[in-house]
Order: sequence, then structure tokens, then C-alpha cells
Amino acid sequence: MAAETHEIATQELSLIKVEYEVLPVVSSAVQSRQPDAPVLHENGNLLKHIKVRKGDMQQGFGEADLVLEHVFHTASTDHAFIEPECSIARITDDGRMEVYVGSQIPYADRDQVARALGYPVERVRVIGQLMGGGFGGKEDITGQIHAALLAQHTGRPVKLLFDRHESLIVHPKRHATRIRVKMGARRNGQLVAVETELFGDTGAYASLGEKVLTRATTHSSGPYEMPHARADCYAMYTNNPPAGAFRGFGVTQSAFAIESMMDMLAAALQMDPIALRKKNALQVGSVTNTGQFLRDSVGLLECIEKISTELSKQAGETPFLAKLVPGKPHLRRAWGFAVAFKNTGLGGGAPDKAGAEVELFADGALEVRTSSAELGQGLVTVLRMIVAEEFGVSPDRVKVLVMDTDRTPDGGPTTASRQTYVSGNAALYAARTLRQAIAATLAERFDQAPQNIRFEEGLVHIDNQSISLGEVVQWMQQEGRQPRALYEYWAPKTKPLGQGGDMHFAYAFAAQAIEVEVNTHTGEVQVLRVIAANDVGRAINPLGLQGQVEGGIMMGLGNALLENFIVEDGYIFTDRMARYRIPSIVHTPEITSIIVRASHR
Amino acid sequence: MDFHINGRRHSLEPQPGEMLADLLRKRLGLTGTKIGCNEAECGACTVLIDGEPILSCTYPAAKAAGKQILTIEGLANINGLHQDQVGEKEIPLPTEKLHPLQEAFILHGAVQCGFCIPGQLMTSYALLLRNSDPSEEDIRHTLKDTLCRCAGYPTIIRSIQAAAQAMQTHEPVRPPNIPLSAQPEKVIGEANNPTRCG
Repeated sequence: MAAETHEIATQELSLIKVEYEVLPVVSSAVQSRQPDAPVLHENGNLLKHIKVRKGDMQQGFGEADLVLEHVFHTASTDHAFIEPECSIARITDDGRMEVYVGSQIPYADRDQVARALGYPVERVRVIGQLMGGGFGGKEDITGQIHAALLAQHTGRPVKLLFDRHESLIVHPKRHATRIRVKMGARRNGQLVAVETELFGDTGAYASLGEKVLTRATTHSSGPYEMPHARADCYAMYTNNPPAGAFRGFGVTQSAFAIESMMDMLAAALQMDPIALRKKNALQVGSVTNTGQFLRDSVGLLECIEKISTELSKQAGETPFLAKLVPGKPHLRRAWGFAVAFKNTGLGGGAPDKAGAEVELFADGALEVRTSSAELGQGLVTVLRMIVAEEFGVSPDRVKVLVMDTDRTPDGGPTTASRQTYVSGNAALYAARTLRQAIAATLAERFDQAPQNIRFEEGLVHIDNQSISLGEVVQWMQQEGRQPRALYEYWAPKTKPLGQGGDMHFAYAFAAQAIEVEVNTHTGEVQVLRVIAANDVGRAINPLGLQGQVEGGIMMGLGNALLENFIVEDGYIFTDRMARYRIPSIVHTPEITSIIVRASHR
Repeated sequence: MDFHINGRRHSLEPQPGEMLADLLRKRLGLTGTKIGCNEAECGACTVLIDGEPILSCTYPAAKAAGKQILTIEGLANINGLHQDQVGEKEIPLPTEKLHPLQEAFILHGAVQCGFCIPGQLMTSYALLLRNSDPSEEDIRHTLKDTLCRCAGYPTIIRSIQAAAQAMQTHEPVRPPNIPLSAQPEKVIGEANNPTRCG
């Protein structure tokens, strides 16, 4: 329904009468897998059976002194970005379709809008808007096509803004899972085998369900040396809202299951939870459950060490024992500990590349352009810092243009923790290429070797002369050279699951200790302190990274303690902010964030 | 009805059922005030009325008659002025000089996606109006209903403290205790010069 105003559209909508035939509802992945479950799609209810196989399970469990088995459940959650989805579509004077939207993948939007309109892709321009939060929830296309279709049919500009209710019921959620973990260990704590069975609720439609649940499956042995591992994941269709990408991308769910199991194992073995992780942690030379040999840059042990040291400082020698709170007999305090890893980049054999263009202007300013998206994670700042460093200029001399399919090269999807790496490298190499072209121009003009040219503080120094960067622009143009460079960066190749080798080109590692206070009368849990260590490779912008770590901790805290996207028999209960509670400033613990940079070849 | 927004007088008749946020955004183009939920749950739409923070998404526009409204667009301009001065004289034209709270939010990295920030700033500003030296508890209590999904809460707390200190001492806002680049070795010249060509 399109109208002049929101009010009119709302009134008109109420005049439409729809009759529904009510069918039986499939409301969970486990129910969907039952032989007598209602069939939801032509090809059945199974989106994908995802498998991980390593070693020999019989041998593995045979070598174990202790085998534990437990079933874990995780709830569906919502991104609840504070800015709801909005698309504006308009036809330009020359008959093209322009779509203004906050989207994590502008080029994919362009393809989909063009296809829906029956246009060639060149006739569509997507102009991305800085996003008021995304967290994976603005990967799938939402209102872009509807707005464009309405603009095409009416010839008028169309704005489609979701209100909070629409936002909550429409976009894909985090997958609810049921994860069974069976883990075997020797008496000394050495892990020998793990078997996991995952049921993931991907909702009514696939979205990125297969990819999300593949990550859940491949990470379900934890960041541990595991000689024998087997995982079976059933990505199931249900009648719930679709589930797709959400910060952590499936790894959150399996990390919860496997780390809870590690704590149970530590208790059963009467072993220190940190020592148990340390004994089994992935390190350089380890082979993952998918058969990937880790050649370098595995910072897990260092993360554990850092946490261990800081924890003794903050919590003394027995952090994991529950302690009384003086004067409050109903309260108990104790620390917990966990580790995690998460792939960087698309992986699994998908081509992973990004383009970036860097241009020098006559006023000495630079611009870096890529379609990669800014959703609050700080990519624009990172690109600016990379190009500034390469040219020896102050960051405020570098402009950044992102998310425009006419004016920026394709940076690929802004997902999978990949953009600082792929678009960052594309920007770096584009800047370097341009710098070399500038040096070549100057080398010829001054008859000097390019090695004698230095870029510093916005100037180029050559042969005892200092030239402003802007001045070089006209010299380049006189020679018929353009003062810009385009670079397409390809990340190292990966292999599909099941083929062994590098399933991902890199992983980030983390360890955390958290102090909680439990009210034994009400069951209320409050998080008091968090110590986090993250191995993220080189931190380009430490201040921005700290914000990401703190924000991630808060979102995790919300997932663990507050958030639950409730659907009852197909009806969404949490369809308003008042019913879906996210963490507020009052939930904020004291956070100590430690950045680890693992050694690299 | 007559009212003041950011020190300027406006005469405008409210429409039936119109909320202040819609009047500000749709009729006056003051889109710095954001609507996150439109149901008084998220705090993004916070503006000040006579110095008190209110949620403009559920505040009837008609109630603004005769009131002094301050939105995010007016915060930079108000620099140095106290609330009781606002109504009495015209606010000077934009000076490009940000309010210390805004400077502190930028400097301390409190802005991630930025969508909630107008609400955070207006709520913080209201706090500093009545308490120039707020404790962390005061800050947490005041901002408890102003949600940030990027969860820059720790940096928001640090920013408000830094701004309060700057306003008291009339010194520049104190920067965060964190290096601005991961490459201090380059800054101090110990690394291979990365900008040398060749």
C-alpha cells in the first residue's frame, strides 16, 4: 500500500480483508525434523545436513577416561539496531532507478532490485546511507525492492520506513539452536573426542541459514586440539521468522554449548577451568576439526595467559569459588572463564575479494572509495588511517566515500569480520600503486631514483626540494597519467567444508573472565566485571577496537541474560521494544580489554 | 501556538495527534532528533523542554506551546550558555564550536553507528545542567532508559566525565588513555619508514 502520507496508508490497509486458512504450525527445528511434521517446502523441511568428520569416534571415546553428554539450548534473538530499516526509491530524469538505503551489501541490492524491475544492473544505482546499526540484520534485502517497484509503477519517489513493530517481525533473527554435546577426555584433562548434534531453526525461508549453521557446526568442537570429532547439524525450516546473519554468525551458539561443557568437564575432573582450556588450546601446528593445519597467528594461548594474569590481580587465587557478599547473605559472587574463536572472511571456498580506488586531488587531499559498508563498526576511519599512513599525510586530508554503486568499486559484503582486512588491503594497495605512480612522475621530472623520494607530512621530498602533493596532480595529467589507482584485493584462497585444507584464511581468538553476582532469592544475575583478551591481528584503530570489544561484550551479556525473541505457535510476542529488552547502561560492567597480537610469519 | 526551538521563536499550529518529534523532523527539518521505536522505549528522540529531558516521540506537539525546546541542532550553539539564559536572548549563529559533550563523545570514541547519540547527548546535557560534577552512579541512573545497541556505554560514561571536567576547569576535553594508532613505533621513527618509496 502506497499513499501520500503514512496516516492514509495505515487507514487504507485497515480496509483490506484477508482470509487465512490456519494450518498446523512447526515451531521448532526439532519438531520440524520429526517424520510426521507438516511439510513446509517442496523439498521438505531440511535446508541442509551439515557434517564435520575427523578421526574415529569409536577409537576416540574408547581412549577417554571420562565421557560427558549434555543438551544445550539457545534462544532466538533480534539485532534491535536502534535505526529501523528505510528505503527511498526514485526515478531520475534519465530513467534510472536510485535507491537510498542503509544496507550491508549495496552491490547485491543493485542486482536484486534490477532483476525485480527487469532492468539491466547499470540502470539501478544504490546509494548506501550510514547505518544506525546493522549487526548482520541489514544483509538480507528488505524494503529496497518494494520501494523501487512502487516508484517504477507510480513514477514518483517512494519512501518505505519500517516502524519498530515491522522491523521486529520482518528481518531475519539469530538461529535458535538445540545442541547436544558428547565429550570425552583423559584423566589428565586431555580431550580425545567430541560429538555434537545441532538443530538450527532457520525459520520460514533460508536467508543465510546454511552459511550461519555451517559456522556453528565447524566451530562446535571449540578452539581445541581434538583428535576425533564428529558434528551433524540439521538446518531446519519452521514457521518462525527467517533466521540469518547476526554478529557471531552461528559461532555464538556453539561456543555457548562447548564452553559450558568444558566447565562441566573441569568440575568432573576437579581441574582448574583455565588449565583445562590451556591444555587443549589450538596453537600453531594444530589441525582443526575440518582438517585445517594452523600455520601461524594463533593467539589463543596468549589470550588465556593475559586473562590468567589479570584475573589473579583482580580476583585472587580462587576466583571460581562462590563467595559471600558481606551484609547480604542472599548474594553470591564468583568468576567464570571461557574461550572462543571465530573465522575471519567468507571462507569455505567462496571468492573473497574487495575493490578500492584512491585518488589525489589538486588541493592535496586524497579520497578512498569502496562500496564496503559503514554500520558503526568504524570502517571509514580505518580506511582513512590506512591511506593517510601510506601517503604520510594527516588523516583529515583523506576523504572516504563508501556504499555507492555508481561511484565506488565493489567491496563485497560487509560481513564475516572481513572489511578491515579485505577492503583495508584493497585501500592499502591502491594507495601504494598511486604513490608509486606519483614517484615515477617525480623521478622522471627530477631525474632521480624513486628510492630518493619521501612522502612526509603532506609533502613529497626529492633532491632537497619539498613539493606539495597537490602540485604533482597537474604534472601527472600533463603526462597523460590519472592521479588515481584502482586495486582489487583477493584474500587467500579457501576450501569448501569436507575437503580439508584451509577452510578459512584466518581466525580471531578470545578469552574472557567474568564476575557475576547471583541473587539466590530471585535468581537474578548481574555481571560485575569482565576481563577480555582478543587476538585480532594488527589493531589499526585501538580506540575503535575497544568500542567494538565493549559493545560485543554488552551484546553477549544481553544474549545470555536478557534477550529472548519469543514466537508462540507462529505468533510473535516480542513485537515491540517494550517486550524485547536489550542491555542498558545499568547493565554495564567494569570492562578490562586487552588486545593481543599473535606472531605472524 | 508560539514556542522557542534552540533559542528561536516559532509560530506553528500543531496538527491533531501530532507528536513533537514529527513536528521537529517533518515540518521544521530538524532531523537530528531520531525516532528509534516511537513508543517511548529507546530514548533516541530525547529533547529538552524548559531544561528537562522528554521523549519527543510521545510528547504531543500541542503541549510545547510557550515552551523552550532544545534539540541536538542547538547544542553546539549553546556552548557556554546556561539554560536560564536561553530564553532571554537569541542564540548566536552556529559557531562550528561543538559543545564539550560533543567533543568528548568524538574524542573518546563513544559514537559507533551514531543513531542514538542525539538522545544520549541531550540526556547527558540535562544531567550536567543540574549536576555539574556527576558521579558514575548519577550518569548510569540518568541514562538508564537511553539505549545504545552498539553499546558504547563505557565510552559514554567516560565522555560525560571528561566533558564535565572540561566545563569545570575550562580546559580542553581530556583525551582517552589509549593510543590513537596501533603503530607508535612509526610515530617515534623506530620502524622502517613506511612512506619511503621504492
